[in-house]
Amino acid sequence: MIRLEQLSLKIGAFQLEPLDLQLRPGEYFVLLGPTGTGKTSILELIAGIKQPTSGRIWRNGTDITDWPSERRKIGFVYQDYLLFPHLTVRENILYGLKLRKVPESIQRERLDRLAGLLRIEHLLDGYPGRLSGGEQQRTALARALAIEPEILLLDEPLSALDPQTKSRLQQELRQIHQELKTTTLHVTHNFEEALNLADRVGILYHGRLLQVGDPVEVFQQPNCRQVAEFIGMENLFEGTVTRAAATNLEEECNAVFTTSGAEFVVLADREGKAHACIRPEEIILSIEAFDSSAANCFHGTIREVSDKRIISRVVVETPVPLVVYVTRTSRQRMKLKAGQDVNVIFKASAVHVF
Amino acid sequence: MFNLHPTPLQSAPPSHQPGRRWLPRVRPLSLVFSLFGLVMVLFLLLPLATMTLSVSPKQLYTTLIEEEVRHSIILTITSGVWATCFGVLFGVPLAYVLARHRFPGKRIVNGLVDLPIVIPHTAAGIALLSVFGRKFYGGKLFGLLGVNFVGAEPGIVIGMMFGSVPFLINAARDGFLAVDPRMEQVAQSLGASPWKTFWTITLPLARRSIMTGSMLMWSRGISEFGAVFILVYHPMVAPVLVWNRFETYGLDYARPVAVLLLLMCVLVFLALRTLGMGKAAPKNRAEAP
Repeated sequence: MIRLEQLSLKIGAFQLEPLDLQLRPGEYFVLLGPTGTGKTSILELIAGIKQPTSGRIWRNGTDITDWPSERRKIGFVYQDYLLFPHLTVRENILYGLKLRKVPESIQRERLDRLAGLLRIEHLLDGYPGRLSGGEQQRTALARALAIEPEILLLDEPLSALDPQTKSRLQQELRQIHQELKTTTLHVTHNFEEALNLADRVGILYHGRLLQVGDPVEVFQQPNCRQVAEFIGMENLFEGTVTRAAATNLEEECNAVFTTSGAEFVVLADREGKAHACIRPEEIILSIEAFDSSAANCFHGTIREVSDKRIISRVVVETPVPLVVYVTRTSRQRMKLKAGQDVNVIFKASAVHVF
Repeated sequence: MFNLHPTPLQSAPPSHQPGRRWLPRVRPLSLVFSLFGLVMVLFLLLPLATMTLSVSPKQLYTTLIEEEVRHSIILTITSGVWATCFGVLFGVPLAYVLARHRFPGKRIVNGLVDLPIVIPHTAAGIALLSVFGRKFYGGKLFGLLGVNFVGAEPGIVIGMMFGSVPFLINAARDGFLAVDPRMEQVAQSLGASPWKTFWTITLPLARRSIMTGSMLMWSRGISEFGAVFILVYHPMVAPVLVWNRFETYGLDYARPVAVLLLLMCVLVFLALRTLGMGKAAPKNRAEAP
């Protein structure tokens, strides 16, 4: 188990704010953040490649902050794999075990198991230079896993791969994790990886760990503007929440969110300055005005319609611009196009206030 | 149906310079540069070829079996090997430090490493003599160990080393620079100590560059005249012997020795090329050895 305590790093202009994070034994933790935000630095701190400016790193209750890299027993896989080009795939995988003078029988056993799990048995006698990206990544994983690390650090492990290889390897990562239960810290800027692999995610933004939690929770309920922006929340507004007097609407709603130009009925247990976002897929779009139980109903004009793979993104100019997702079939059936007058409707519960 | 709109691909080539297709098209720039380049090729080739051809195989043979010549050649080769060994022992660690570490004065050290290439060799010889001469501190210090530089083999070795070690240091530094430091970090994360990492990862990956550098250093070392000549006239290394024969007996006596020296160097050069080490170390190190 790894625990980071007030860990910080300052290199030139780059600053990693003091960070606390505890990884649960056997969990798959995905650290999500845009490029250049310090994700790799965190991994390098844990691996002992960089020294923190302040803070401690604990492994199973032992302070390992000052331990040299080679004593930490931490597996590190870089984005570009960095296989040893002068060693065969087999020698690469066994490198750590040979150093530790692990008995040959155990070496063979681990090699067989990992090569089987990662489907690289047929590549063992070749040199890394001849491998495809996916094969190199599997080899790098096997090499890191062979030492049975306390924790496996993955630095953007899928970023350099083509889409097919990427999705296949993503599944394999999950299988391997289920099989071996190695505590894993995976950093990426890709949400899909986070959603597919993570037991928990953390959002790192400009050197600060902003939110940690269950992936679905983080994606649906960002706790601040940066997280909302980073995960690509549409319909993000800044404003104030005021508690409303009892209303006669059927829905249970207790507050009004005021932003410049519009007011939304929301569920909120706080008052004052806040952010609100409305998930575009929870907004209903209709041509005819209709009575509904939803608390928020606006009339507006379509400014823009753009087709994505399965959905269409419609921007409606109400007092504030609202982004609405509809399926492409609905878009065709309703013949939605720019300039058309429509109604947008959403429940108070569709508005996430933070 | 006729194709009324032939694509440019179909129509272009035949109409263009119809009668001269068998001649490669030469642009004026290439022509002019080739002619100038040819002058340089001749300048390099003619002296070597003329000298070699002016010596008969019989002359070469009789020169080769001369005691003085053989001794001289063997002395040159072995002194070159010694110089290279010391170069590797002290120069490769320096190259590693220059490739991996930042320290105050690094630029100065880098410049210093290149300096022997640009200073006149006789000046280098005088400089060495003012440290390693019998009356000077270097000479006195080594004298206590029974090592004499002036007029002795150790002098040949340091004379050769001074001017040629930059080639080794530079090649080795480039070799170390080409090894991604993160690869060393991966090795350490797998449990290798910094020493172990050096021996198992860094050195094997930089080996080709170090070998190339050593060969370059050796070839450059055995052809050293100026510095060696100042420190050690006797025993005579091959370049000094060539000069000695020229001074004492004239061109005809100097030539066979010079040709032998030339052949020796060509032989080494060819060996280098066949071993694939004469070429610059490949940038992409992903290939299997």
